[in-house]
Amino acid sequence: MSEEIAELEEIADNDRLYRRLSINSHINPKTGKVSSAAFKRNKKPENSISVDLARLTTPQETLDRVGDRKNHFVLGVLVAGDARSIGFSVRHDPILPENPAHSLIEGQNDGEKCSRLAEATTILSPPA
Amino acid sequence: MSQPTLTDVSLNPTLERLKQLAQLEPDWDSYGAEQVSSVALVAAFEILVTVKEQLSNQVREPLPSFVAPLADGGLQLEWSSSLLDIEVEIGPGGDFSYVLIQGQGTNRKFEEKHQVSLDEVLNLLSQVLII
Repeated sequence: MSEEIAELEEIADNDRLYRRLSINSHINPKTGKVSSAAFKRNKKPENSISVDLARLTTPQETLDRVGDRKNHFVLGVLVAGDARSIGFSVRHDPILPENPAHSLIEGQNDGEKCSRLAEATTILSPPA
Repeated sequence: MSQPTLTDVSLNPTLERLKQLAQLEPDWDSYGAEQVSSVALVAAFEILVTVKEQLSNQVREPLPSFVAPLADGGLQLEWSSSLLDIEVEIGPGGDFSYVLIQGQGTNRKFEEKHQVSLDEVLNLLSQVLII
């Protein structure tokens, strides 16, 4: 069986990154802001935050990846340079064939960095 | 108009929120998140009840403004005021951490501590939320 090998993209500082945010779990309904909880540690592996490189996908594709659950999510948009200025590295990590846009924000994480990531995230308004 | 005291404040909205989060399925965040652990839920309940019992008539905003699940199965309780924000993190095993954020924008200062006791969390809340 042949394996698809993706060409790795260099992610520039001005590249945009998409991350799905749970409307019920990640967005404070009183303020409309993204909670730092959206970026806190997972186990797969530690300190890796999955995102999609925006220029290799579309907002709809990123949302459609969760199938019927997509109405439970909005799209958060981060700029790679903001994540790097907070102290993270950002790299393209395609998962073929499912998600060629998959990328990772990586690095030692803490509460301050999560708070700064949340503040740097804007919520993409759905199309009318 | 005087501020509501803890004796006036119902925990019900926050308890309803905890109940809602307890029902989250695995992968609720679409990135492989764990379900919220029962240990974290019990610890959150304990904080809420203790804040109500021990800090009554002293605390400006007794209830967290937001409760969020964490991908590792923990919970985060968030309190906000005009001057500062507090995030109390409860790990899936019931351990406590906090992040105290003072100031706004680029002038924000962060204080963070891990593996703290419940008493330390309550002491922090009593200091920063007090009327």
